[in-house]
Amino acid sequence: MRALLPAIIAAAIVTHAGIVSAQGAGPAPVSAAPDGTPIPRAPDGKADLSGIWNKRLVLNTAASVQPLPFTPEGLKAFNDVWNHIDPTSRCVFPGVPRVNTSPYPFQIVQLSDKVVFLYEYMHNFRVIYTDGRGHPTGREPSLLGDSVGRWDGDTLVIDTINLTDRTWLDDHGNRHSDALTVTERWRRISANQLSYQETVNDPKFYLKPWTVGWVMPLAPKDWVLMEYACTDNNKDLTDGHLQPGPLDGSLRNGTAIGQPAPPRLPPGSAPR
Amino acid sequence: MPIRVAVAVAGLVLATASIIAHHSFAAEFDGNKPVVLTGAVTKVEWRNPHIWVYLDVKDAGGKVTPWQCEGSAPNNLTRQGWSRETLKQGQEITVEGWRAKDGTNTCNAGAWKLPGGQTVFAGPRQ
Repeated sequence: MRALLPAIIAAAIVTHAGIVSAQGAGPAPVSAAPDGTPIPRAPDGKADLSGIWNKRLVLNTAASVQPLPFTPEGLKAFNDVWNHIDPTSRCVFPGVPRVNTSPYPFQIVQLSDKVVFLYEYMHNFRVIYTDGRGHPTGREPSLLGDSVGRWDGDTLVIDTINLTDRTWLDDHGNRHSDALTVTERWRRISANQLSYQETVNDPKFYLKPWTVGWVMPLAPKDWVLMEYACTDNNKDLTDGHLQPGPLDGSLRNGTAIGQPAPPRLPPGSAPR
Repeated sequence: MPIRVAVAVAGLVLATASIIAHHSFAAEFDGNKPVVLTGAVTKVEWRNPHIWVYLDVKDAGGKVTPWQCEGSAPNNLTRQGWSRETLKQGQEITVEGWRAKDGTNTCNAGAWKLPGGQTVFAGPRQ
């Protein structure tokens, strides 16, 4: 039996891996080092981000920046998350930036004056103008907010403002307020790899902005975007089974409590 | 030793469940209530956001109880080569999963197995 144990565990891991890959969200980390394949170029010479990309389903986007620099209000919201149903379970759009870490692939269509993001998940789309225009004025806050883009060399930089507080940052139940603004940095580092960074700037909930990122792989050549209608046959929702808490289950009993951020040093004092 | 093996494997399987069922597992199903069901497929719903398979489960006394089990996302399964035709009406299937917290005959499937032991809806279709 002792000899069997490793084999059984290995088999379970293989099964596990097979099922996870079936998600199509590419949870396996993709190398951050460029694989050396040439970066496609648009007619105007810019790096061309166009293609169907297989997003990573990132459950806890803030995992690499712990502890988060919570404000008291932000800490309260984080610890209160298990009293709320995840908005996406009710088919509310994931919003920015969560739309970039939700499951299923997305397609980028790059044009000379705009970059269009087409997300399979909940059929979200974003038209990011890169022609120098500013943010629109007089609009009500929305789930995806107002986004404008600019090119920084080969990197597409997107600034998003005018967001609501009705979305979450991820499946872990990381939260944001209506003061959130987001900066995304998209860069194709090879024919097959798309580097992604998001900076979360929310002075109501976090004492300072924080940035995370990873690399997404190009989807297999035969993939096309498919229909994803969140309310088509959503029995979890319509049968009334949904319960509060983050989707990754980590805070279901409320025992995982965020820690207060370390106190800020007075301006001008030397860090110790 | 066999108990330890079972615990190790169960731990991995539960870890799997929390990952594969992104949409709803934690909010609806109980990872501490595993269930194994064998019955005849009565209907397959291949619609977003998750597939549902309905089956009639017969107990030792011949009593039939209808169950409904939630599976993975149809778009992911389609990309792996599976389809609604993978399971035919009347076909026997064994579902290893976890019960819904609300106590209804509802489960979240971790594995779907045909009578010959072949697993379906997991990984690319061979």
